[in-house]
Amino acid sequence: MIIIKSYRSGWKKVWKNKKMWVLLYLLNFAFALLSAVPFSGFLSKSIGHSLANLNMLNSFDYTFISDLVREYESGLSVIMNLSVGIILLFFIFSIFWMGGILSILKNKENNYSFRQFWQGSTVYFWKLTRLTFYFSCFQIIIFGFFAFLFLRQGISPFEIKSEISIIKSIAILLPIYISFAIIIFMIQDYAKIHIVHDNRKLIFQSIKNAFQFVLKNFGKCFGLYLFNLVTFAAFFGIYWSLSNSFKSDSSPTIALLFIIGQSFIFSRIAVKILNLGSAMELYHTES
Amino acid sequence: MKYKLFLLFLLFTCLGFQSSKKAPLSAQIANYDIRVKLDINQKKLIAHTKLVWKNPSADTVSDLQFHLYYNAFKNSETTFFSEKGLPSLFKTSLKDDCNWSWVEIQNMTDKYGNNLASNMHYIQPDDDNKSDQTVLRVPLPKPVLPNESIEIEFDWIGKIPKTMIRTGHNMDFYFMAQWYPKVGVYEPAGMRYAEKGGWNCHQYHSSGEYYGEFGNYKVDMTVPENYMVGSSGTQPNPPKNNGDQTTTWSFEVNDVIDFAWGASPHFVESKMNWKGIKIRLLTYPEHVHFKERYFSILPQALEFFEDNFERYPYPSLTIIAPPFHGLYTGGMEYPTLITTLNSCLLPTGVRSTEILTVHEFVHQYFQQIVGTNEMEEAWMDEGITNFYEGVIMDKIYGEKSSTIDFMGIKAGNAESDRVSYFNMENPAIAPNSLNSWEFPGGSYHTIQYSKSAVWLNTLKKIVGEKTFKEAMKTYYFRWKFKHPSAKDFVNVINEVVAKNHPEEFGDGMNWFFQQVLYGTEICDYAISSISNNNKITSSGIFDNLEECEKSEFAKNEDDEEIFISTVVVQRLGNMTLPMEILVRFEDGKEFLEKWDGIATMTTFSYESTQKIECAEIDPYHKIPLDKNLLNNSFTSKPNLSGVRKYVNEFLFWMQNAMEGLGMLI
Repeated sequence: MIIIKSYRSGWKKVWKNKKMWVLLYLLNFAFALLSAVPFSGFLSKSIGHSLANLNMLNSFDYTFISDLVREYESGLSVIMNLSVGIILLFFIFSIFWMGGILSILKNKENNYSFRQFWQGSTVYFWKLTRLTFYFSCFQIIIFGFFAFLFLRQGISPFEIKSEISIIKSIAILLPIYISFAIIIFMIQDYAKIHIVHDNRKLIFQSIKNAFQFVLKNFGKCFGLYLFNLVTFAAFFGIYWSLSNSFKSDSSPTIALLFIIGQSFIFSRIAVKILNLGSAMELYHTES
Repeated sequence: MKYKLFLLFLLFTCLGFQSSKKAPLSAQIANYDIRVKLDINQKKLIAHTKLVWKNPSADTVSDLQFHLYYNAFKNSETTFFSEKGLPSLFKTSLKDDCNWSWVEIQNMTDKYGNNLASNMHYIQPDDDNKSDQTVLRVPLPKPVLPNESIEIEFDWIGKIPKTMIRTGHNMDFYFMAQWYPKVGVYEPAGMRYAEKGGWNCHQYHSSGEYYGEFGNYKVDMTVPENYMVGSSGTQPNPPKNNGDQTTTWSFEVNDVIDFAWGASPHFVESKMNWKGIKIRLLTYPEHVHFKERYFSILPQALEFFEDNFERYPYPSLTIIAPPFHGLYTGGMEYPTLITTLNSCLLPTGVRSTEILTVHEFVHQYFQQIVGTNEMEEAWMDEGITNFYEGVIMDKIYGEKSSTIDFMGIKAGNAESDRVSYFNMENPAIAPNSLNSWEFPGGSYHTIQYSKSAVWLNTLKKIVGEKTFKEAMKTYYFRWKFKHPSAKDFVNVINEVVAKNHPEEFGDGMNWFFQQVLYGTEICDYAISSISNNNKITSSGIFDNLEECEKSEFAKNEDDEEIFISTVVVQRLGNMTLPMEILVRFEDGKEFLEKWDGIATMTTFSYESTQKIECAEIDPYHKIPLDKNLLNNSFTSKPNLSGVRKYVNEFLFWMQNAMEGLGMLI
């Protein structure tokens, strides 16, 4: 029942901090616009006067996409490089905001305040940056290990008898890998919570404590994480079925698709807060 | 009365006998009787061949020339490996086992007992590379007189390579292609490009496949008794167990240019009959579920050719679907035998099984029956085959989803050829007319397969489907079971097109072939601008110096403004094709303009009370050869609905990417 209690508490925290929720959404939207606006300008200039625009309204058009990418490659590659840069920039800012999010969620009594958000962002930035680096390394090591296990049997026709062995390997290794990756993500979440709670100088102490906490309460932590994952999957399912229920080939339907898409992003950010808020509740209850 | 009835019966019996004995389809020049034993321990073929070769010419022929394809894998200095380099997988295999392969003729005699082996020697007609032993010349002590035959017999051994270039072994799977000493094609003066009679027998190169002479094959294959054999031809008798743990499988086929076979202890056999043609599928247990896909697509391809050319002329067709470890033998055509590829890793929406089945089947007509020279003019089989593959696949699965239809991603077959050709780093790198081994920078495949299919598609649309169909049918019937060249193909197209369109194409299509077949020109036409300007009345000072006529917008009697509208069309590429331009006005009126497409620019001007709404080059999409279809149209006002849709999707995925990466925090 502690899982349900934490999950509900997480949702309460999302609602209580709806200003932060909106702020995070707006930040995401604003950063995405930084590359979407040039992309729009580029497309308008290059093919705005072409009847090929009508092909874009139908479904995926291989000829159109190929001609566009080939003939306007230089312009598109500038947009793509810009987009990658913006994603990386957003990533750094996300580390910064994470401290703010955790500070707000830590505060049980008071409502959201901008001051506290930015203060938290500043205080925990370097620790969360280092934590992100270490856990990214963990994830790479785990991925490399499973990739090694997968490739060890070989994938070339000279090495294996049938592709069935590749399928079997994937069927066995992929779920195990995903489970491991989830556990690492989970431990990282509790390490972040620990950093904000104890604010120790060395983050290894927080990582160690997070490991211990997760090992001690594995069923609860994993169950709660699965709950949050299912919530995310449910939102995605709703988005998928709604966006595929009509053809977006006119201005009103394109606008509708935009609203559905943005609603999904908005809910995705809610799930992010939910995940941290519910984990924090579990941490408080169990430690 | 009874006597008369008896005579009548006799007459019908004789007539029946006459009609059941079919006339040969081809000249049956190279006729083989091969007995071969597969030694799975030594990975060798131990064989005896009896060859009857008919001199098809008025020449006296003093030698024979043979392809010894397996010698291409004999050492690192062969022409094949010099051109291609050693494949990395092959290198590993060589490091472990010294797994070079070869074929050696041990003796050779004619029917008079003359020893032909004593003078035989390797020649290198293409590159003078002395390390290459893929062509053997056998001088004859007794030349073959015009229209006479020679009968020779020889023992030979072939060391089977690891699977590569569609032949070889891996684990216990064997596929034998280009496996036997095969006589070249003797071209008399006047045939194809021959100015005087001589052998056309090229070395084995890294690009290009083969060129074979028509003939009959009787082949006995002795394999371990637990092996099943799939082969060109039909079985006159069931397999015979030899009592020494081997079984001999016999196959026969007439009027073909080659013979291939495969063997494995794991083959699962499935059969179907299509209008009397026996179709045999040999696959591995893990791929048995692909059977329905083969048996669904193949009859449709057979039907297409029966409707558009003629009924498949052989009694059987065998499909070998190699296992994963036989991957490198898949996707190849041999007379009455095709190999395909399938993989449980691929979803059904990726139609590689169907594409390969159709492609290799089309080759039964375009190279196996119309016996072109793939070493010299590969487009004549690969290009035409790719074109018909597109026609059949697009007809069955739709032209936007016949190659891939998976999770919203769709691609058509013919459109994939176009994309593949134009996505080359340099689509103008080489003309189609080069020898296969002369293509620079790995461009052979895309130019010969994709570019050819694209220009054949363009040709079809320019001359019209009916004329194109008639031309291809004429070409097929004129050249089936013979060896045409590109000029023979061009001649037939010119003849039929000029006959059907004397006014438009009375001089034939040489102007087209010069650019697409013999040239490297690129086609790109564009509408560069549209302008709609008010017509201005006359203004200024005329006769009376004191009076100034002011300029005004011109109007008609109904007080409607008059516009001078102009469409500017440009030729950006160096290929010139006649073009149609559709100009549409705001009131819906349309004008279809014709332009010879030769100048680098042209304009079309109109005076009307309506403005031009849009203009489009090639409005009926006849020119898939146009490199950039996005600049083929122009609207006077931008229409941004499509742009908005894509920007919306871009924004959405950008936001998700940012949030997704944020999971690492």
